[in-house]
Amino acid sequence: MDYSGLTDQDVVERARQGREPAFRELIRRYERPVFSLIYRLVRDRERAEDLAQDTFIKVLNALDRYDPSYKFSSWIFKIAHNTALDDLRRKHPDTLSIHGSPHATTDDQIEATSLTPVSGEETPEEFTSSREIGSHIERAIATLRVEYRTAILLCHVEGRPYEEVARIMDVPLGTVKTYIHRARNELKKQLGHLRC
Amino acid sequence: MRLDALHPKDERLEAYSDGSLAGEERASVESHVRQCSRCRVEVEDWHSLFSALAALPVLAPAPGFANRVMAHVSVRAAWQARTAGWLGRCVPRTTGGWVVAVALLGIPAIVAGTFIAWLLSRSYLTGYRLWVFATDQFATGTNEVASSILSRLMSTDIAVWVVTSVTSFLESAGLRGMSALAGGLACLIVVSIWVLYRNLFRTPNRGSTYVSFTF
Repeated sequence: MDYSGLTDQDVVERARQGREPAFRELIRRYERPVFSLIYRLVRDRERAEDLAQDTFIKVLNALDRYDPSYKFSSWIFKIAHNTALDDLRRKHPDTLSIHGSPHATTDDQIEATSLTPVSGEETPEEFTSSREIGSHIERAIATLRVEYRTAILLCHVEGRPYEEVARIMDVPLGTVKTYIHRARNELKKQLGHLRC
Repeated sequence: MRLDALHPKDERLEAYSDGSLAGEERASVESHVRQCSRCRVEVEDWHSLFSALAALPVLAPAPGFANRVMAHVSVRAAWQARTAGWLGRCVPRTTGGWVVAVALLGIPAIVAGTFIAWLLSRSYLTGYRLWVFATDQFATGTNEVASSILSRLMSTDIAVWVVTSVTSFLESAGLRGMSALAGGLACLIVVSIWVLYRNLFRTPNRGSTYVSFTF
């Protein structure tokens, strides 16, 4: 059966009925956004993989407790956010590693740990240019406080409205607005030299 | 009035740039931005930042991610899912539902409470006498059931063998032997709890394995 045309709620309902393809459909829909968010919070590919895996295991094993009156995306991002925060509290954040793990010492290791962008159809020139700007922004985002980083990523990268960001982060709406305002200003200040 | 004096505040330019201003407020900022090159540059900066953020690549986990996740997810059989769904439907989802459920459960509680209150209102029945009666009945009943189970158990060959073995061990081992046995049992309990924790409660990560031990 093709699940791609169904809403998240319908896919969850089928997963609750014990249909494995529905579980896989939920993973397919959210593995990239969840991994991207977690990676940009913890800044280490291996840890991000483990934490994304933990997130999905928690979510898929607790589908019975999911309340369909809330958006599934809010629920999964909330669990991803909490999982990443718990990890950050336990360990010191590592340095940015968009071009491979900072611990990689050989070309093979760098290749194996580098990230795979999956969006965008660009010419080689556009790709080089956007990758350059992208890495500046990635570095600038990495310097933000984790609350600002989460808010800005959810709002601008995932395109979630302020109300949903507030639900995911479990903070009042006004706090989210403040986080986003401060994060934007810090990014703008840091990226000022890239103005075209 | 000079144009400089009319510059919108930074927050308003930011809100205008992200499209969250509406109506008159938006029109007023828009009209100013059209005439003011400084504010226009400011708005362009915001737009550049928003575009750059929106263009950040979506990152993918390593291939085989779904399989690694599914290895730790318990997909229930259809009958289990149906049972859980049926039980789930019995749980109220709204405040009104909870009110009805509590009211329905409250009726037997009110009936029982009224009956007890009526009993207590009789002059010959005091709370203390009822308490003594209830505890006496409970103790007698428990004693009878426990004695019956124990006598049946003790009449088996295995029980006789266990009692004989334990008695002879206690006689021969002495205090040191008892201490060693207690220590050994304590270690076994700790190891068992650790194995249970690792296998049942802790979420396994990529590369981690299940723990087992054999006797």
